Amino acid sequence: MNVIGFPGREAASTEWRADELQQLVALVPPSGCSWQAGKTERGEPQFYVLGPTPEQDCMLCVSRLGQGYVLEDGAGRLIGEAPSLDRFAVEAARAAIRGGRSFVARMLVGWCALRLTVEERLEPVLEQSEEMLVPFAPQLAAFV
Amino acid sequence: MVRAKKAEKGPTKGVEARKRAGAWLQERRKVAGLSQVDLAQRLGLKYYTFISQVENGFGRVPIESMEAWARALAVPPGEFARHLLAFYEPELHKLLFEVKK
Repeated sequence: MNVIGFPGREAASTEWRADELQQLVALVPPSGCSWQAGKTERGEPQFYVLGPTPEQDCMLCVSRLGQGYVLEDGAGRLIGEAPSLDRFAVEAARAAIRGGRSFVARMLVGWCALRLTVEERLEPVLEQSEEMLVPFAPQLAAFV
Repeated sequence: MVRAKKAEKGPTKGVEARKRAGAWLQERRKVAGLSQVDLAQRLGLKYYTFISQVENGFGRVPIESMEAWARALAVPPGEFARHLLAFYEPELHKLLFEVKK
């Protein structure tokens, strides 16, 4: 009998989960910025927000350490730390306001906070409106 | 919503040089017998994630902490800075150290 080996906890923790990656990619400003994923020597996943080409300097770096997340800028300054990605933008924004961080980092953190707010608050409202329209779809289709 | 792209393969000259700088730093750290955590502790960093960021070729060693990095890796600071300048600012390095009068 063949036994299928499930990946161990350590192996699973070295990669970003699909849901984490989706949240992180949503935080990257689309204008000229890109991203890359990597990992530390110990295998913790890192997510790098890169600036425009040709330099593509690292502007922000999100790392998952144990059960929490750490946000640093491209010069290694700690911008924020939070237990979950949902709380991460809020914590990061607070940290950026407290400290005299670089303008670019503050702009990016502001962008992150805005994106999360829009996704958390606006999208459920839009989904609800879509659901409300579903019963009227046949009538609406008749008008077209 | 428009999503940002994953950086494409085929790094530019600058990115390539930063990757080589990261590889050199990693090599120096291993020669010094330090882990990323050890090096972060010597540099007084709260987390060691920045060491990884630099060694993976995404970040740069900040000028203000070059001396601390050099001493932690047991490399003479001047030599360390000159070596990194060749990766980070090759044109400036060329002007300063390679162009003959």
